[in-house]
Amino acid sequence: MVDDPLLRTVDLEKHFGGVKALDGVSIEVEPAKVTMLIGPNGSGKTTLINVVGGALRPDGGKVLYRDEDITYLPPHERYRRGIVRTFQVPKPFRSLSVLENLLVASRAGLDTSAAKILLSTDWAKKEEELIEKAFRILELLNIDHLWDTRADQLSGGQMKLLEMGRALMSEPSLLLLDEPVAGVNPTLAHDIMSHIVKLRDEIGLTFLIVEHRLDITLQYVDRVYAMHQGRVISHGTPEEVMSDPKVVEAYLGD
Amino acid sequence: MINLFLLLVDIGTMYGVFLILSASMELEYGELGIPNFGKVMFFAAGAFAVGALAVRLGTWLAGIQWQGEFKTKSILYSTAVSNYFATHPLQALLVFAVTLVVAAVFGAILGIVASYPAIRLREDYLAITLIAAGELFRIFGRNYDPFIGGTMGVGVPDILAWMPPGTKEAGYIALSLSFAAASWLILYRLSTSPFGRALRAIRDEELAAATLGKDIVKYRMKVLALGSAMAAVAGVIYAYYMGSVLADDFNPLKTFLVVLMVVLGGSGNPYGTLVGVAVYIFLDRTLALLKHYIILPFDINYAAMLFFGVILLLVLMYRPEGIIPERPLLTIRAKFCRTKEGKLEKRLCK
Repeated sequence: MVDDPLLRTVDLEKHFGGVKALDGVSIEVEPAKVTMLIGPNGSGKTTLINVVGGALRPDGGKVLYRDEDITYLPPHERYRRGIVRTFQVPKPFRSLSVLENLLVASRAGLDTSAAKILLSTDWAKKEEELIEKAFRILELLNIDHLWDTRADQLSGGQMKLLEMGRALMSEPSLLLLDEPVAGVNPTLAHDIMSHIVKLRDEIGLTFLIVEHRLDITLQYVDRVYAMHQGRVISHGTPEEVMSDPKVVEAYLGD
Repeated sequence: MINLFLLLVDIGTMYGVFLILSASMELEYGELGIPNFGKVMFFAAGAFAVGALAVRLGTWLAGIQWQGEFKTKSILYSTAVSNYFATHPLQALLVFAVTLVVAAVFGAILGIVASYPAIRLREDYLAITLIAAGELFRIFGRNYDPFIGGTMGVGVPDILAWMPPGTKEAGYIALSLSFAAASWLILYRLSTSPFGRALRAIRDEELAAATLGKDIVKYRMKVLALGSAMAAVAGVIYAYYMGSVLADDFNPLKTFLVVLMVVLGGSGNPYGTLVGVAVYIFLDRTLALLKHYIILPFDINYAAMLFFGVILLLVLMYRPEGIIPERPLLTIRAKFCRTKEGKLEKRLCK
């Protein structure tokens, strides 16, 4: 018995000028599963993440999350519903420390009211708890020694980990990860992927991942969608997809 | 000879006025990254509110019958109201309180209006739009006589007329500096809180901040409303201190002086505004004094502007982060310190 999908896209279309980045893309992301998008460069994977995350509006089709139409919701509304993403090219808050970068992502909402901050000090207590939580995540990602470093001083790999840390701090129910292990050393990449699997098993987190490093990631994922030129050309378990002649052709052909 | 006491009064009062303006600019530009090049409009909003209301309210409270045009008679009647205030301190404070509240609310509303283009326009276009909006506001004040006396300006009654001679000036310093202190504390408190952290996150990476749940439109609206209300309060104090309001005084140059102070002091750091305003006021007053002793082949007033232009360029070229650069601000830094190994330990430092 397959669960109802947590996220569904229905015939998504997105054009950039004459280029069809998404050409009728329909995928389903099942809850508590790791679903991965693969495909050659320019096949539309990141565009799909951008449309699901709210950074881009599609030209057609729908995005459904828990059966709610979220196609045109702004990113912060998606966050409220539990959808959080990371970026292929890391976007750290460059002038904030690593710790502060994580705190920004917190769901506690201490930062929404200027009046509350001016009129009481209640937030400080809660903030301490958040700092402790942030440290547990930093330790998990092995960057706790960098807590006081400005984010723009980090290496590319460390920025990737920071992105991951922020996403975890936000307690998502669906995490969209755009190349989470690109530029990360293999040992740490395996650690990150094992941790993703652990989060899936222990708290039922759902993942939609875009990643090129199939050698590392394929063994950890449950479902794979292969894209080519804006279309889904194959989907199924990793073994099924990787043995699909269409997928092999897309990767090896021109 | 220069009266040292009056010089100090002037320096202290103007320091307060410009500190409020700089604090509001720092909140909007330094923290959130909105280049509010229309700052003078919100400053003018406060001053114009005082210009339009103070003398009218004063004559009404004093029971003085107004005869003749507003434009030509306001100076006369403001003197009469000042004389009335000399024996009626409560009425004077009432006029001050009413104009202060009206000005702050008016400023906040203008700020919310300004947040609409601030949400939709890119930085440079927003800057142009806000400069133009400020000019429109000035030109309206200059040409619509019943508002603030048009080109003649409007007289503002002396709300501290009831204080004994000699202490009144100190009263204006106290008024100005206490509002400045409050404004700066608001800035500091917000800047070192989760709220300020969210502002910086939005400034640094808008899309990432939105993805992590920040409603950017709301933040811009709140900050522009607060910053504009603060600027309007600065305008109120400026108007009462100067004793008159003249529309043409509120030209775009005022905005750029505030930008200079924030950039010079170090945008992104609340302490920067304290220093930036001090440096500017010090240089400005020194130049004003030197003007009496140095003879130049052109209008001496331009020399100061040349000088400040050069300073701004030098700062941008050699120390773009300002005198006191921004640094990551831990909201509860005091309780978290680094050990020798670089780990975070709770309550290690005092």
